Amino acid sequence: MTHSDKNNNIDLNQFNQVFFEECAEHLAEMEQILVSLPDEGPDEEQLNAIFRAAHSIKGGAGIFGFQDMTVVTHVLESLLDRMRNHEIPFSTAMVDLFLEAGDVISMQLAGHRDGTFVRQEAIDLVRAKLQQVIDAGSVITTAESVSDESEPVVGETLKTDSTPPDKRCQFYELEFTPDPDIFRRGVRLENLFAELEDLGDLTVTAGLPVTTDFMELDPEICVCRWNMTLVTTASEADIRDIFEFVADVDQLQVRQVIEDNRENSCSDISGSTATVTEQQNHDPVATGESCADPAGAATGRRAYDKNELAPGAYGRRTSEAESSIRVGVTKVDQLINQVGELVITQLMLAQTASVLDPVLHESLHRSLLQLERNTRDLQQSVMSIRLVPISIVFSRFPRMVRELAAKLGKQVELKTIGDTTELDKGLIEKITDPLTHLVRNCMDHALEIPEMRIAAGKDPAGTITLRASQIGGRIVIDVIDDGAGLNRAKILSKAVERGIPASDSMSDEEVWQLIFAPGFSTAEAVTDISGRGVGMDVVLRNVQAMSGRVNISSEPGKGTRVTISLPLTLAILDGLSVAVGAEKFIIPLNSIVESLQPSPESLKTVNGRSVVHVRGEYIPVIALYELFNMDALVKDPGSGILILIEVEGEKAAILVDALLDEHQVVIKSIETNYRKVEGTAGATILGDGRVALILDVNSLLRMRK
Amino acid sequence: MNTEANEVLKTCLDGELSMRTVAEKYPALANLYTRLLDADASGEQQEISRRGAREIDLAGVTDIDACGCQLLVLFLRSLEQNHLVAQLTNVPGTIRNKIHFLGFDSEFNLSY
Repeated sequence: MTHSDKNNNIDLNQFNQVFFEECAEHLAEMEQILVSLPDEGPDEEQLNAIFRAAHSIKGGAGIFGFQDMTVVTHVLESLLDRMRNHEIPFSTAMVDLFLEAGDVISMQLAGHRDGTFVRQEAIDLVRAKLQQVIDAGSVITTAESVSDESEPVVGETLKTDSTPPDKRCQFYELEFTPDPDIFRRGVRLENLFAELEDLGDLTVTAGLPVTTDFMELDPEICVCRWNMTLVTTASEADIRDIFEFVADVDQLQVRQVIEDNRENSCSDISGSTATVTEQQNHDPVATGESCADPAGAATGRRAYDKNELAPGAYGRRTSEAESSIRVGVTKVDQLINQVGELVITQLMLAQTASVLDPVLHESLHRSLLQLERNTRDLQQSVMSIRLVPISIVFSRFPRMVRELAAKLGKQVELKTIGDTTELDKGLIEKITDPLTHLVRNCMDHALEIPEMRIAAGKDPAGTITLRASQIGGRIVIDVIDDGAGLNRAKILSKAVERGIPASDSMSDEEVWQLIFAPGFSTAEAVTDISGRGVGMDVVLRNVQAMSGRVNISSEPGKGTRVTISLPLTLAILDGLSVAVGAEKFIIPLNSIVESLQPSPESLKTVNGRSVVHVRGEYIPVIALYELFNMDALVKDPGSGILILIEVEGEKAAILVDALLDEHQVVIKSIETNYRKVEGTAGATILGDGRVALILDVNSLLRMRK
Repeated sequence: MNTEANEVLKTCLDGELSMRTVAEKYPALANLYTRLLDADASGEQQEISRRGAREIDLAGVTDIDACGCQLLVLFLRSLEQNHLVAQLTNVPGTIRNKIHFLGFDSEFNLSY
């Protein structure tokens, strides 16, 4: 392969990547609509939206050469189209079938994207099922047609009129003037023409400019245009749909030519057309268009498409392309990193200038203040790029809840609140599993079966609410159910049984925390949904790994609320800087309970280790100078400052020389830049240019043990 | 791309002639174009005309797309503008069909 080939392959792969992302979005959108459908079926807009998603996937797959993906989507699209035309009625079983089809397409997508195994039998099966529904619908349609045809034919005119307008052959002239970069965008025109050919008899003629200087030519720029004739029963909208991803409305002219004899079949009509154009004899009923629509070229697009910013319009130059761009996460992270460096530089400048006389250097100080404001704004703007709405996570639950409810014989309504709340992309990826586990737990354990709920005077359908909100610098996610609530006695007895320290005197809050103990489960039966006792401890661990916290509140008979609190981002941390000897450390603020100067009598030694007595509790003292083997100004806990920290219910007091300041610090990986340092979660650069280690409180507790 | 011994007369294209490869094929065609024009200017064309037609041999072309077709058409068109004529020869059946399907057959004057 030549160098040029390599470059071009990379370009095409980039387009593929765009298709993969768009396809996944369409599948998610389709699923979201399907699981939210009311019992009476989709309304016109919902049906159109599902059709649009299927159509976009098929169109993209065809254009980008993933022909296998068009197999299921084609049948799915056909079925949906018939449903839109009221030829096939909706039935609730279709939802499952469409979801199954979506799963199969997802599997094919993963196969192309990740090289995962694709089960051909699943593809064949779902395709056959879809076709079966179409065929069953067709039988009904045919029967109706037969019935129609059995009516006495009064005359030729009546016979002609009995043919549905959209089933008559139409003769179209198309003029396609593609965008100059259509080749570079990887669009395969042969696939496009093949799709057109599927609609009927197609003739294609390419046209090129008369004069071109070959020596000045850019061979990758398209200067061709195509004239086509198409004889088909399809509508103008169907034709335009094929060009949906490759042409703006002004790049495709479609003219319907009125033929001499409407009764000619598609196969023989091409030789008997008159050249009376649509402009001269426009039949709005036959074309399904409105004469009132002055947007000439825009006519022919379906009503639901008119204001559409089709998310699948990859490679299309619509207003969408101007309103959003896709950028790799690596690039964004690089930008965040660079802005982080800028923040550090600004801090260093501020620190250097702080020793200068503010009167003599007033102008400098003013400029530095301005710099600080601008830097902070820039940092916030850049950080916001990584923020994505939590609806990305929430949207996966309706289907899960629907399927689990059916499996468990429960009636469950899922509500989501605050879907637009934004969270760091990295956190979104990590919060999915813990939330999934919590929702499964709600379904399996918390919500009662309808009979029990009715007996308890409740609505037979239980409710699970997922609520996200931003409170200060943190994102709070609540998973709320209106089930039976946690059973205090059962949790306590189970804890005792498992050797977990517990007593009746514990507060409710403390008792609820017991369910986070490894292996803890009060489930009567182990099901394939939950109840194996692995989960809540994993939930807690995962959330804490994101510098988050989990709280539980529960009321018997009323329900349970699990609250997860997360930082907005993982790249910046709120921390307290402390001094130990000549070094500075950052302690994450979310783990700090309080700081205190202990009285001599509160300090004890147990088994040779220092502990501090705080409000009836003996808390171990961790001396950083000992852990990191360094010099400190203060080695006696009685003379220094103790910072009380708490993680997973475990407490410790960190001995430091002095408290310095509260910072928002940019986290840098020390492992990448140096090596793993036990007890630390990374490092940051302070205003004076020095590196400060960020303490990993969990790890400190482990080291002390 | 190979150019035979009587290189001014006949050029063989091979492999894929598509968006993926046009950037690579174009310099050779441009070079041929320049040489044909130079030959014309120096009077060699009479000799070339005497010896035979200028040919683009497509026997080795395995695939073609609209971008590749466009490049060939523009090459032939540019020669025509300079009163030079070149012809496509040994067009494989699959390539011929593709050219037809993409609507370029009349541009290439291919017979079926």
